[in-house]
Amino acid sequence: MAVDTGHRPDYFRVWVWLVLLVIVSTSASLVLPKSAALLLIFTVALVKALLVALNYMHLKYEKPLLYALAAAPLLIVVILFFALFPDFVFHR
Amino acid sequence: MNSKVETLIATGIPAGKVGMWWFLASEITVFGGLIASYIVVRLGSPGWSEAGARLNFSLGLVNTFVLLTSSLTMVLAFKAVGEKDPKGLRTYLGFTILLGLTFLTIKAFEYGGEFVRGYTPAAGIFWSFYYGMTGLHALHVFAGVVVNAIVLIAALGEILKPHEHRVELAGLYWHFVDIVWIFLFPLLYLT
Amino acid sequence: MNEVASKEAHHEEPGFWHTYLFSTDHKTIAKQYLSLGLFWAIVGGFTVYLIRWQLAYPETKVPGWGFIAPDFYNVLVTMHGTIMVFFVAMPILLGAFGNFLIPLMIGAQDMAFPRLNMLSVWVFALASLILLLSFFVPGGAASAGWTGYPPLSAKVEYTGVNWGLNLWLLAHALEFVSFLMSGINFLTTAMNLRAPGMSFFRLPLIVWMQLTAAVLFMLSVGPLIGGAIMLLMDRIAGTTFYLPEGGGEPLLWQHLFWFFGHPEVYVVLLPALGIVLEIMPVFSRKPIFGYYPIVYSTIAAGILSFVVWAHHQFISGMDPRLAMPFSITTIIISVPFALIVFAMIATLWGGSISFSTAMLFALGTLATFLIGGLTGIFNGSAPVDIYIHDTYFVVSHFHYTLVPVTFFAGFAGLYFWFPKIFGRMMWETLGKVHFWFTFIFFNAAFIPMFFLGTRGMMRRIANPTQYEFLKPFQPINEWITVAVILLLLSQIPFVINFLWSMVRGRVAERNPWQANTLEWSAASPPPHGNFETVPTVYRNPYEYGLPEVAEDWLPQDRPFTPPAGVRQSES
Repeated sequence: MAVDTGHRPDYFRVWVWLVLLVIVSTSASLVLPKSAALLLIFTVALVKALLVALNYMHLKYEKPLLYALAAAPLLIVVILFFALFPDFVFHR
Repeated sequence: MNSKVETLIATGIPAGKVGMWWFLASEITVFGGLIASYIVVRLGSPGWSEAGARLNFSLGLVNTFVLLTSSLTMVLAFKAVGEKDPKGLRTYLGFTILLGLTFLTIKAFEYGGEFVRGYTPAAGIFWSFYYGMTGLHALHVFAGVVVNAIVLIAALGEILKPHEHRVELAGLYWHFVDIVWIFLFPLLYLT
Repeated sequence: MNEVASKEAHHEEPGFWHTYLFSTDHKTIAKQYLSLGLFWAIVGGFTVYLIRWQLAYPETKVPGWGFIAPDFYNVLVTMHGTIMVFFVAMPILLGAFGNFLIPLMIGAQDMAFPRLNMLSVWVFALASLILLLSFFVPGGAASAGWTGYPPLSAKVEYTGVNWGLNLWLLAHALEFVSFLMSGINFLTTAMNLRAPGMSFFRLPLIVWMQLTAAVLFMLSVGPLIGGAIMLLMDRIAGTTFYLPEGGGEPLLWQHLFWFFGHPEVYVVLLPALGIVLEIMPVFSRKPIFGYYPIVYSTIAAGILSFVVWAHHQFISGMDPRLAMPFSITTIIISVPFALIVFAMIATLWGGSISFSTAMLFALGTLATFLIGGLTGIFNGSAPVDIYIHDTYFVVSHFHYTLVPVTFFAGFAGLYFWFPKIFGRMMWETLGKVHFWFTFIFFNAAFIPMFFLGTRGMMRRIANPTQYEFLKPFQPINEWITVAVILLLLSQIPFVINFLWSMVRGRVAERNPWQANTLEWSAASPPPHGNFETVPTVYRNPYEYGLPEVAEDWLPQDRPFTPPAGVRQSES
């Protein structure tokens, strides 16, 4: 199967971004107040994950079907996550 | 000519890739479930930040860079396949394996340090989750290293020729393992 | 395609080991799953005998066994549930029927990943071995219920069971891995390897069911895998995920277990419904009524199945505010299934029905599952459930769903596809005897159980006569035991029929039932590669009773142009 040589992201550039983002979130945890830091850190984590998924895993160039395969389990995990709130977050 | 890949491809996506993404979908629910449980139990009780502060932050940070870079080398190996560059393929695969082993070594070192200071899995609920999540992740890293090693050996012996798409599939798995760590690191070390 | 066909021509005959043990042929793998499932059905059936004897005649010697200690009773009820759900229902309905039928019905030569398929059945065999082993380790087998709730299951000293429970967890983990691999195979195969002309909406309904079941399994088992690892770590690594004294949460297990546990029941239900939906048109000589609504209902039920799980936890001590939303979703999920049941009845309506054994079991599945489904509504409503939870009402409800699913539908499928799988016909008369005895004794056993439940008989108790208020109901327990023993004995005709017919049954032709789906175009049994030439699909699978056709059936792969001026139904 010929590997698609058409569109290809600049892998190295993505890597630089990833490194920068690690530095940003690490600094945030040390410098910012708790809640602001948390928000920033998890947004950054999400961005990093998307960078890897879209570029290294080539999701950006794949058919929508594969997006669905990646998105469906995430949705399910989110449902489980929120359903657990009453019993564990609100009740201790 | 890999006849399996040439067979009817009704979705337009090769069977191997479809299969790998289904596998990753189930893996997302495994780690997702664990992470969701961790967050939810943690939000419900105090004392986790203090426990988390006992982790070796610098080693965790180093490991994050190690894994990120290994993702880069992995995708460069994939790029080498497309450019018909067998030497590049072997070099980058080799680096990926090396970085994976580095990750595991550092992790083992961390565990050792924690055990010595008395932070065993029985030391409290934070530690239960820490060992559970990073342990499962490490097992996945190890499995990835093994798979990559098999692909590398096949490349060395030129047996990979008809199955070069396997580099892409191994890469998908490796990137997934990297993404899990992208979430584990802040959840455990940064908060 | 030609290239692959010529590859087969150069293929030497495999030796014994490759033919029977290390085969990558989906049909052989299906038979391996079937054998394992039937083996465990016998073991599971034996646990039933012991349990029922103990309940009817507590603290007496069970003939052929001896006394049953209360601890061992706990082992029995635990292992009965585990075995029946994970080691009988799953391998037979998905492992056997899914593996055998999917490639044949879509016109493929085999699964997309044949070696992964072989690995999956070997992992399942390993899981079976480990579960079997767990009976013989010091401390005995798992005894914390098939649901394994902590803290009871989390600390050795609470049950006295040490490696038995650890091996139980390991067996589950391997079983999950095995079916994950199967799921990947089923889905990729159906997505990519369909024959020309086989669009998704020309797939036989059982394929839709198997695929939906695979998706449900793949997406729901993950959190439980995590949860099971956590439980195992609590037992052997000293962690405290589920132990309150260490900051843990016992309730977390329940959520993780049932988050999977509920989709799991649909994972086994859907293939069973698929079997019934394949058999009914063939023996009514009528098309399926409502193909599209059935498909959409299946998908809707699949999606809904992810948000009903906490109806198993109404009295667990979880936040009571969760009761209402989960009651609502549970009531809603009965709608798509009701639709499917109505579609089945409409399919039969006005049909030219022949009561072959397969058809009898399919009808029996429908009739008994209906009772199961209706009693589910009582359980799904929180206020009622608070009263009947953990009573025999629930036990009867889930036997009225799981027994039809596993056994009635399983038997229906076996009687129906036996000619295709083994190339011989089963003996119809003995099959009908099997059906009637099974049907009568099953209902005789489980109807009274609902009353026991509403009168307050609790689950999992070894000796009902210990409780004053239960003593008057002991005759019912005795009745149920007699019925169950007769039910177990009623399976003997099946065993005889099955084994005898495999070697001495009348040789079957390609299409003894005159059915339309693609598997009947292949030889009985099909060779490696299934079809002599790749079929081309021209229509949907349920064209029975077409006026333009001389016969009352029209296979999917037969080209047909109606005479000029006559309309042909188009899909």
